[in-house]
Amino acid sequence: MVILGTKSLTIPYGSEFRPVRLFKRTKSNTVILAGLSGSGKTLLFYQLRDGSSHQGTVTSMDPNEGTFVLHSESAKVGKIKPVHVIDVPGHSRLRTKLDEYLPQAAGLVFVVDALDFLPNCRGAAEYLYDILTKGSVVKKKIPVLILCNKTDKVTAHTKEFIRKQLEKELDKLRTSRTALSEADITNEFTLGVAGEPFSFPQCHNKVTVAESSGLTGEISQLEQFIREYVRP
Amino acid sequence: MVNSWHSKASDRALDGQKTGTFNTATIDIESDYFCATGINVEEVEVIGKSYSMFSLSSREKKDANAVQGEVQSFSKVLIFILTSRSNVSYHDRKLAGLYPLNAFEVTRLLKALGAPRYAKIYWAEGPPFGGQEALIPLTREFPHLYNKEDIAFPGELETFGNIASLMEALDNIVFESNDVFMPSHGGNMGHAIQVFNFLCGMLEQLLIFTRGGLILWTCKELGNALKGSPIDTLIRSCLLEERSGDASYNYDAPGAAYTLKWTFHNELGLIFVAVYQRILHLLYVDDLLDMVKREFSMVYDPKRTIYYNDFDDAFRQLQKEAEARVEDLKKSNKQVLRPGSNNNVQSKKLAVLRSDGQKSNGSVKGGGDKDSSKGRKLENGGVNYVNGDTKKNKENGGSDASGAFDVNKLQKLRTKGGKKTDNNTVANKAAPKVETKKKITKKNRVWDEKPLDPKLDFTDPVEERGDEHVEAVAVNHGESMMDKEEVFSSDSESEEDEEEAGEGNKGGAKKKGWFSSMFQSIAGKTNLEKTDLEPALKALKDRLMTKNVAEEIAEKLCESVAANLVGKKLGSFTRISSTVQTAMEEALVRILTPKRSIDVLRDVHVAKEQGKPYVVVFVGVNGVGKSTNLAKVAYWLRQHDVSVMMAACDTFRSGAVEQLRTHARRLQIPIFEKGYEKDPAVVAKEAIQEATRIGSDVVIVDTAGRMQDNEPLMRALSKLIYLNSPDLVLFVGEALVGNDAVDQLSKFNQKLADLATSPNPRLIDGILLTKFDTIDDKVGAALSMVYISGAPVMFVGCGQRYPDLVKLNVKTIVRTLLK
Repeated sequence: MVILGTKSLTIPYGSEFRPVRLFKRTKSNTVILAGLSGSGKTLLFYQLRDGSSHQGTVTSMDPNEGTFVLHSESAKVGKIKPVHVIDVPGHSRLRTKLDEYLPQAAGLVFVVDALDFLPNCRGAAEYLYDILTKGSVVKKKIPVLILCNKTDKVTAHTKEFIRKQLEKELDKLRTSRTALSEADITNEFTLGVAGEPFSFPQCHNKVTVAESSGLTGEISQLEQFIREYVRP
Repeated sequence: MVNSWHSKASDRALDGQKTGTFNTATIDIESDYFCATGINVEEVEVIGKSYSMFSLSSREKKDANAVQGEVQSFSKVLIFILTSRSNVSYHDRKLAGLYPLNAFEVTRLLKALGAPRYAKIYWAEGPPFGGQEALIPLTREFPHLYNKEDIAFPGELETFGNIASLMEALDNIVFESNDVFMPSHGGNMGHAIQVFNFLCGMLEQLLIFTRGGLILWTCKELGNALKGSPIDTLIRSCLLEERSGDASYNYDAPGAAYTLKWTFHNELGLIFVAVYQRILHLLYVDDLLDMVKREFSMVYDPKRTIYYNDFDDAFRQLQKEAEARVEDLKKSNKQVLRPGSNNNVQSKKLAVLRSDGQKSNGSVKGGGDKDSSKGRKLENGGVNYVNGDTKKNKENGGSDASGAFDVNKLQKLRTKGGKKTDNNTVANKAAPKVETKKKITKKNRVWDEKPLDPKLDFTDPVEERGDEHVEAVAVNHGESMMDKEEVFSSDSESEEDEEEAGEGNKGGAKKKGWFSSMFQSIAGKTNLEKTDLEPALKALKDRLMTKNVAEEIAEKLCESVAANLVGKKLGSFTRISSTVQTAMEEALVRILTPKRSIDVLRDVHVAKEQGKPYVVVFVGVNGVGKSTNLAKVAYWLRQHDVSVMMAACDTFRSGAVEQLRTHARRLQIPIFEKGYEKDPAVVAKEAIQEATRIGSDVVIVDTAGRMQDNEPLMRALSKLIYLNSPDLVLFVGEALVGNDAVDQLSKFNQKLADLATSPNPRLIDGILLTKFDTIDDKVGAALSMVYISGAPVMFVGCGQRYPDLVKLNVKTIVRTLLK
């Protein structure tokens, strides 16, 4: 928890460093955006912060970090606790960064491209499996929100469909992942209940599914999730 | 015939690009370039359209840009010329914008542009294929259709005879001075546009974005929708693969071939990317990027992620500067390179026309904003708009030429139809030659034999500076050795100090005492420069090489790390060497982290669900341990309740089949064998069929070891892979190799790609690293192989027994490499 104070020194955008926090902070205010490359994390990040998609985004090479009051709440009067949001690049070579941030997370948003879901289904499931079996996630019971993004498009899949597909894929991964010895990505925990087909309620941490559209700024369900775990 | 012409034309184009000798003269009407292509006009029907009587709103212009300006052609022959990619279907070609529009589509396009019914349409080529009827959809809507014969006086065209290039030249005049021009993709006019673009081409797009991925600024004026996603591809397959040290990146997508160049601003975490058509070879891009970087970093404010509209003006200015610089460069080149060719009859005949085109072009270029916008439009896919006021220049030349093509007539036709914009039609007709000449000198475009601009003459100062530099270095040479020793002996000092000590000798300009350097290391250095990094990088490179990393790769990695560090601020209490080390560590982790799933069992299950066996082919050079590790993999698969079958496709080396049979017996795995002297591709095919029949989940195919340079054997391997389309091509490589690892893998990949018969060749999917237990800390081969092929290390063989097979532990490898 003390780490947070020093961490905010390196936050590039819009953060005010208040040393008081070092002593006050009891609960983390960090929310992580994770997911495959191209699912729309960076856009969501800027929607949360500025309420605008600006001029679009390209593949991220570095994480985006910021501590801010959500844009939709900026009009509200009174003191609102700011949220520390981190957007971790989805490119597989950069995923190792996620481990650095997980220990301080109050919640994790796993962004899924609902439009182009099926071709990326396996990749997304593998990434999600890695997250859900990470020691830091399981032990601290970090709540996970599976956010189906790009729902403004007509051909986007529904969140129910995506949830079912992911559960199916995760179930398959359970059998194959425990295979190679001395695995590089150490999955310290197994997923779900042995002998039963996997479903999200079996997880130790809370896993929910929601929809959003980064492009049109329809992110109320995401904001709701954030505010559930980072109280204003 | 046509094909050969075409190839000649493109050869020429290539030559020009290579040597850089193309200059604006080539877009002049007749130019050697067009003369030599020799495409017969009669066989290629191209319609060039021109009309000047209406102005377009910006939205309409956009529409026109959206439709790739293509030309109408009825000739089947033309299809060959259109694209050399003959394996592209009619439909694909059309989608890619390579196929010409038909008369109906041209009509529609013109209407979309808002062309009035009285618009004059000039048709640049001979009689259409299929006769006049083929043009009916067009002439019904736009009856004023003219071609050369229609507007020339009787007998006027005879001067040009049947020399195609001269006729082409006439069309070119029209093309240069009209509002809309639709060239065919591969016809002469298309080439004209290409050359034009090559010479005065523009960027497709310029983007500025943060490392986090937010686009801060794009050039709205360029405003072209890029085809595919070149930027994302650049980031994913170049910048994130530690190839940022490269000069440029080529992007291919259907209908697009871009070259991308980039530069970093590491302190601010910004990336600047320029995109342009590959064919253009824009010379000013590097300069422009640097200038944009400099300017933008001044206005950039990290708090302000929102619009940078105010940067538009600055950019316009910079672009002009950069272009002008290159123009000047070309001019000076031109003086040297221009051959004294204009001796033959042909070019004499054209002399007048040449001056004509020159003038019109000159005025087009010289006119400032309007003209630059023309250049830009030109680029946007071949539909261009020229302001009507260039006409008069053309007329001068036309009237001078006795018996030359009378462009005035065309001009008149045009003025008749609409606004009378210029009133010097008649006056110019009688204009004396003198005036023409005067005009030429006034404009002095690129092909003028004009002496070097004094301000361009950098030779002397450069030399002076060079001398100075040499001297300085010489002095430096004399003493720095000692300094170095000193520094090395007192190993407490950082490389930074060493660098400063060297500089201090030079003249004391940047001399800093012990205290200031101490202070610097506490307070953090302002900005890292390449020279600061060099010693640390050198040491790091040497360390990598002692760990058996191929030299080439160590070099590239260091360059990439340098590119990512230059300009960054050094943190407090950090030394350059440790900063570089951290950056390298991150880079190594990134490289070694697999970008595709290496979960073989998962893939096996998927294949099983689809009811077909999962096929793994083991390839590699001789004696690396293919068969042994194949047995290990089989053993591992069996342990996970997967039924395996071996296929003995090493039908080359004596005893190979028996060896595999022994393994199979010990592991109690079925083996498919057909003895020796059989085609391995066929054996593998039969093995897969057999596996499907008996319901095996996995077929592992053993192949003969082959040296990467052995063409016949590589061809056989390519055939095997093509015929059986395996799910996994596993390259087996020794961890013992050093520099040869690069050669082996790159040649294997290269040969597989070259010798493949299909357009999408299968390359190596993964690497199996063998003899890992024998190398101690010399783990560099793993890095070399992964970097060069982009394929992940999927298994590591680390012993003599069946269970000795592990996954690669990235963290351990990186730690070992940097130890």
